[in-house]
Amino acid sequence: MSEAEELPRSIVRRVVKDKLSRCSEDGEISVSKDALLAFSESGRIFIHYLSATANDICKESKRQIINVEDVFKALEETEFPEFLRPLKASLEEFRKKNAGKKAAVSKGKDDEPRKKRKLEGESPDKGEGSDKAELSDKGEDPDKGESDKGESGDETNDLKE
Amino acid sequence: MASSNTPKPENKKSTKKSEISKAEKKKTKNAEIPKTDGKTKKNKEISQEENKKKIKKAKLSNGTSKQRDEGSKKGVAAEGNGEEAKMNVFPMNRIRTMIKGEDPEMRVSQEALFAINNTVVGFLFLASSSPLFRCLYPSSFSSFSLQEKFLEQFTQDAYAFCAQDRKKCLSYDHLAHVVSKQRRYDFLSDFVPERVKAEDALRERSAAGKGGS
Repeated sequence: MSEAEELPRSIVRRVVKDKLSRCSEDGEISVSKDALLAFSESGRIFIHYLSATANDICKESKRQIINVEDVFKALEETEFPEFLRPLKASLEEFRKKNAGKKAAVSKGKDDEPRKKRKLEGESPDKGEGSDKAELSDKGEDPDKGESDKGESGDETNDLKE
Repeated sequence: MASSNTPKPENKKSTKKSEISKAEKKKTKNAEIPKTDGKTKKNKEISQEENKKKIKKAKLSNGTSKQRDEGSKKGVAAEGNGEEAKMNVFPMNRIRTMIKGEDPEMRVSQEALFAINNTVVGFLFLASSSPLFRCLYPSSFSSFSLQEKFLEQFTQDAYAFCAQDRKKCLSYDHLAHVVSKQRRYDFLSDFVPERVKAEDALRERSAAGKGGS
């Protein structure tokens, strides 16, 4: 579960390197290990920050499922309004492709058990990440620590199954 | 279980990860209770060792990144949503798990999940451009509202600076400086703090202690 709580490092590295290569044309600019870790942690905190803000907006409207409009309002509240335009454009593309995939919904259902198997296969990697989980637990609030413990319990159950 | 099941290279990686975690623990301990000069020397030695480890890990990380990429590709193929996967840089289930880790009762629609996924990519793009300017133009990084103009100017001056021996490594200090200076990144201030000398931390601690008493 600990690794499931982090963004994949390879993807973070790819995104940051892509941006840096666009900014500079005189060769690649390397990123230190600490900076890459800070980027990954920043992305994780940004997800929590954005989702918590969207959740508050959702509760104000007395709904229980966060939708896209809540995310848009959350972006405005968190002072990142410049993301709205490209986000809406890509969302329209997403919707078009979703409409095209309605026929493939049954296929998607068939794929679900495969995902579960892969998750089970990934369990040893999660074991490796336990040290990082401990570090993150220490850094976090006691309440979050408790929630993490509960999740670890779920993990053991999944492993037994 | 995990150690026995995993092959040898993974064992090495796990040991190195444990070493990293130990080093981080040492950092935290030293930051909390650094007292003697001997410890500062130890910190220097630790930093040197970490530099060596970083080099080694860089090589290993390349291999691991390849493996992970293959894994992600397999996952994409299994999902059968090649087009959708191309649009989503980060795995959707991963982001959903992260959001539910914060509040298990939180429910997010598929479109909202997609929106958050894309926003994180944009956020990382934005967060990585500011430290880059800080890395290459320390003296001219006083006005953030001209960030786009800096980008244009930077592109033009890139060739001019190519001949100079400028540092081309984006490090933690550049990122921490941006987080501390720019208000929109206040939510990261607890997680990406600027590095402080042990003496200053001790002074703050003693002051806090006096205040408490």
